[in-house]
Amino acid sequence: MRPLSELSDAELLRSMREGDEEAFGALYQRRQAGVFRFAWQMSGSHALAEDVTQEVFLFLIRDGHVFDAEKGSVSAFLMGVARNYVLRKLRGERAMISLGEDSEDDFSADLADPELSPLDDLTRTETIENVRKAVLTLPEKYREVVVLCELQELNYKETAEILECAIGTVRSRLHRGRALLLEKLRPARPETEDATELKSAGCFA
Amino acid sequence: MNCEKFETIVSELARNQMMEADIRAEALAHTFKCSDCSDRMRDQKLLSSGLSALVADMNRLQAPPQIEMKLREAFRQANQVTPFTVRKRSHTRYWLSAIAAMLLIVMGLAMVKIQLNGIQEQVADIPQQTMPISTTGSKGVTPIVNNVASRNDSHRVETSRRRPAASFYAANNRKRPVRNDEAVASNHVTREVATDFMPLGYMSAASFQDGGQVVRVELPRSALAQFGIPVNIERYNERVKADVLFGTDGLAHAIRFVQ
Repeated sequence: MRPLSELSDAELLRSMREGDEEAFGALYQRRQAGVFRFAWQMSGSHALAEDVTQEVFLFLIRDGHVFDAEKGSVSAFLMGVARNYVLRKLRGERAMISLGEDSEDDFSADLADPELSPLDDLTRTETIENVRKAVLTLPEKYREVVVLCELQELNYKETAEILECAIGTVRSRLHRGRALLLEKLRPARPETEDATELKSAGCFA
Repeated sequence: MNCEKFETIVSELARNQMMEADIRAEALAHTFKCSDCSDRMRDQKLLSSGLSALVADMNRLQAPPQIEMKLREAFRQANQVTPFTVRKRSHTRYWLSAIAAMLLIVMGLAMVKIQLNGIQEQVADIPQQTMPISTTGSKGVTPIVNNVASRNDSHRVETSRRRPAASFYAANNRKRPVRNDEAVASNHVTREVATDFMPLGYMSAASFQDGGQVVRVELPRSALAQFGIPVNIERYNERVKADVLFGTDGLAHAIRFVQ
């Protein structure tokens, strides 16, 4: 019998549905971080991310039979479920956190790199925080693409499976999402008026 | 390549996405010729590095361990309780349905029995009438039944008790409503055909309110003619049965003929 670590997600899910708790544990350990991070990156709320992670795997326990391997991977399935829960919570509770009251959810300070000098670390932490805030202020349809493609580092196909849309849609939304992020982050950088005018004019060389 | 085309691929270029080598080379060459596109490329790379830093920052994030404990508990409950519960529920539901059906049947039978008993008790509980019976009929009248209030003959008592009302309807030329229990008694017990009660002399409906008694008598068939009933001449000498209704005053108030 193969060890659980060598089994695919689909095989673990099958064993889990047959009552194997260890298979469930292995699948959870393999996929919980991605689900948790996705929920956290989409909402900026640690509590909401915990709730969503719990609900996603409870859904897997109760309704794991709805997974269809022909439609995509277990990972994409879990992300799709997580996305639905996150959007439902965000829309239902308007739980988008206030960016000014986010001290308890600020993980950057806890995860500071010990190899960096305090000044470097401060700059790095500030940059990360700015990017994180900018991502959280994106409209949902761009935010989820940016989170999945950039932060979860999924390819276009996997993202399209999760969002149940065409790959072209993912590409265009990502392009637009990145442009919006740049607009939000740009005021942080000093920029001359002339340069702005030049950019807006563009060139057709 | 121009700026417009560059704009469409700059984000993928900055993300090092796979693309055709020719296009990549053209785009990179364009950044050397166009400062704006070069700035765009720089901004996109800065954004990618910022996002990468965020990814690295959050890479160690994961759900708290207590969530796994809760989920494992939920998993155990789902896998232990559910099959047993389902089986138990199905059996319980089956037995409850069977018991409910049995109860309904028993209750139905009990209701029917109670209704039948009620009817019998109503009939049996009619108090025995002790009125004096006057046999002041016409000459040749032979009383046949004189104990109509006997408790054992409940159907006959029922008949005798209801006769005043019957005669009332007859006396007023009204169509008497048919009562089911009376009809049943008539058909299954007496199996007789009778005329309506015909008044004897003058009387009013009020005289029947105190009740009365019916006495079965036999009369010469010629007596039918006195009440306007046609008589078969060949059977003129035979006798015919009749019920005479006596009031509480002991006088005959009405008569009907029975066949």
